[in-house]
Amino acid sequence: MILKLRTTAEWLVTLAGVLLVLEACTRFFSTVPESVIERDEVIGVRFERSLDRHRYDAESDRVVRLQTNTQGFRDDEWDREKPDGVGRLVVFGDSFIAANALPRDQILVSRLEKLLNRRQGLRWEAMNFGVGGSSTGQQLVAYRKLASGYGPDAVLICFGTSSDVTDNSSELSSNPILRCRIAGDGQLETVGVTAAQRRSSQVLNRYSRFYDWQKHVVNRFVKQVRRGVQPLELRHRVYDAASGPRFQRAWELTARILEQFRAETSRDGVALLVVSIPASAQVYRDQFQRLREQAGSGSRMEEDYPDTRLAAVCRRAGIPYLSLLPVFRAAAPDRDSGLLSQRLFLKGKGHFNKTGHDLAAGAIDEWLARSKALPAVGR
Amino acid sequence: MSFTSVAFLVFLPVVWAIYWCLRRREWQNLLLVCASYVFYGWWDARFCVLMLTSSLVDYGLGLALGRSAPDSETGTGFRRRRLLLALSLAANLGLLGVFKYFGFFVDSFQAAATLLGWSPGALTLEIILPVGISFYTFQTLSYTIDIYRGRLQPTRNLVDYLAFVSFFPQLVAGPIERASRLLPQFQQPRCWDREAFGEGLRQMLWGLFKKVVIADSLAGPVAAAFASPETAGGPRLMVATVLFAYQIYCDFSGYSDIAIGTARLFGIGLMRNFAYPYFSQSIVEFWQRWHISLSTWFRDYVYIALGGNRGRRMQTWRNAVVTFLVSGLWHGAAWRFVAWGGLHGVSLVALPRPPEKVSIDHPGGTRLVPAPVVLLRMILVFTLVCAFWVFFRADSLADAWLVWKKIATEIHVAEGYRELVLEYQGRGPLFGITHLLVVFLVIEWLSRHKPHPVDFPGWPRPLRWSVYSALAWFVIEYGGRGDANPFIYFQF
Repeated sequence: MILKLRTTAEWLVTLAGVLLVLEACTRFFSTVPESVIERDEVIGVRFERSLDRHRYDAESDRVVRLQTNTQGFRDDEWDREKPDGVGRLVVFGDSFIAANALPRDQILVSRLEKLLNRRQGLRWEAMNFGVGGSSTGQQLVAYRKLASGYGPDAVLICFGTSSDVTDNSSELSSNPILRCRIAGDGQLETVGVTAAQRRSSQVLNRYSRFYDWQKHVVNRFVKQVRRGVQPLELRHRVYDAASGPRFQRAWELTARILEQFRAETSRDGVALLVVSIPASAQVYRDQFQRLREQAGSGSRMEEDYPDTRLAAVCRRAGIPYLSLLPVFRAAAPDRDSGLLSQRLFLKGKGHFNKTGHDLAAGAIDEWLARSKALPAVGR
Repeated sequence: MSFTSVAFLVFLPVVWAIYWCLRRREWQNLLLVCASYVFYGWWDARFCVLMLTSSLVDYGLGLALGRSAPDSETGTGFRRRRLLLALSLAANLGLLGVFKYFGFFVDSFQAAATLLGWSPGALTLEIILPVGISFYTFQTLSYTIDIYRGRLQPTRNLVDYLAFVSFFPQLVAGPIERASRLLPQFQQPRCWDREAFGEGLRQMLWGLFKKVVIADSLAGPVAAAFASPETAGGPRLMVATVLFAYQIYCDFSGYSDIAIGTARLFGIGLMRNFAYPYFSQSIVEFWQRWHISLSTWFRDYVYIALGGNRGRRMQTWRNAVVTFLVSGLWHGAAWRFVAWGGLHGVSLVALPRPPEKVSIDHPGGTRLVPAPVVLLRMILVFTLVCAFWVFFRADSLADAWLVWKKIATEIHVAEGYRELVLEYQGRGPLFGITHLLVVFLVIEWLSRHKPHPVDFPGWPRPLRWSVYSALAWFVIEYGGRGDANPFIYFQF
């Protein structure tokens, strides 16, 4: 009995020692950035609130100061009361819009705000609701539960063509995020992060860097194994015009969410706009060729397929829509990701770099001015 | 399939689990043969055909050699045996000649002809070099030579023989095993041994640490300096040369550790391939500690075949230099490898050896702090070995010569050192690498009496497991940084 207890105690001490060593290794030597995301049962994922931290970003290979407001978004503190003569534009998006790799003044939302305010007689506040891994369903919920409380005049959804369709669907993505689904009665319902999931991950996220590290490692391993079995990542099947019923259902769900969004914003007297955020593979031919090779025969890979599909969805729902693809392709005329002078993405293949953000902000500003899609407020 | 790939991470446990579920050794051997061909065919399925052909030729010749026992009274059978051995040599060296040296010989012939004022027509063939061909052809050669010399009886069991040739842990980069050592292990039943299993895992872990954490971290700065030796300063080239010495050591000995550890998981013992070579006190000792399986192969089958040390001193020296020239050519089909081998051969015969013989288990002696003369000898040998590595790493003979020249002429230029110090202070790549190497050197020195450092008999379990977890953490962290390089010796 005593021997058994001793062995158990020894194993417990071993386990504690191992965990301590792993935690120390992660804290001192890891290059995996620590997570700054919080899971929230109300609006899904957001950044840790009131964050002010310098953080190494491997994609841009530099240290970036990450500041968030009390709501957990990369923006200044928002006032509940909208000042007179000011228009509010709520911008939803995923990691492209959160842009952890860049200082705040260089990202699309800040650049767009500056451009909008350059026009005489208008004053706009662009509110950045971008957060990595968010789905359009989460954005709808965040509008209902949070953004609408700030009295926005317009909502701009920056739809990432490379990942948003898969992120919207629980059939295609297992990320623990908040998303919508079509219930048995045909109604749209929300599937959230459970309270237990939120609490356990929050505690471990906060106190253990190793917990965060192992998630990163396991994800990477799973991805590599999947790539061994199926070279084309599932999310890239979004370019396959013959991608099968799961993607068809994901598109139908996306359309339903956007229609619902349109209905709720119309009811509030808020303009709803959609912009598609291109992926590097749509801009650079060499990258798309690789995807095509990975997809193999039997697939119909089309660079413009998600944009065409999204345009049709928006047209049907009566939502003004802009595809940024033509502007990005015009800025990279050779469409070769190897040309440094035509790089619009970090490392040529990730999120937008500074030039990409500038280009996107300029194109959206010009579109808004030309189409008069924004309501005439703030005069 | 590389040891550091995700595919291997899945492949190994699956094969291991099935292997120990099979009780009969015949089935275990058959599984190992199938698994080894899958492992090898992962690079290119055509390579398997080549290996199978080479194996079958030597299997058949081995049986024929076994049947034609010489009769010393009548004198018959000797000629036939010599013919069979010649066939084996021709088949194996022919394979190497075509797949590894064809381009080299044609280029050399054309260069020589051009020098003589004759311009032969261009002849180029795009021949891919099958991974590990130099290793398994040497292994099969040793099989037929040992049968010819009467040291080994040929096996009639084809599966046992194929398992010996293709055993996946040591297939592509050694250790090059002798049939007399490895084949009997496939002919005996293997028993599950928990101790051996743990020891195998520990050695694999240490091998992975050396390869993934150290060798791959050193690869970038080394490649950057050697890519353009004309623009790099002398001090940088000097540092890059030292880094390369550790890169190739950690890369290759790391591979060997993983191979030996993996083999132990299957109850098979492979020979030791490295024994802390950078603590050698002479070039002779260095070659007793570096790539032991190859140097003993060349000793037994080339040096001794040439006469070894049986003749006059000059003949012994000639035999040693020729053996090293051939060894250089074995490493790569380029004149710089021949030069590298030649330099080692010449320094081996020309430099004095320390008076006392050093035990293989105690490199640098048994003292914690080495005696000054021992330290001096180790530093001198390491410097010499580093100087020769330049020929191994440079892209051409001209580049190697340029590196030597730049190091020699710019060694006193302060600007070059300032640049390195600034890079270190600015926490550039040199910062982490320096710390890593210092820690590695201390660990190696303290564990030099053991086959590998990850062996802590007598340590309490929490401490042992903490060290294992820390090593595993480093392997996973560094392995995921995306700067993995293929094993250097795969190209040979």
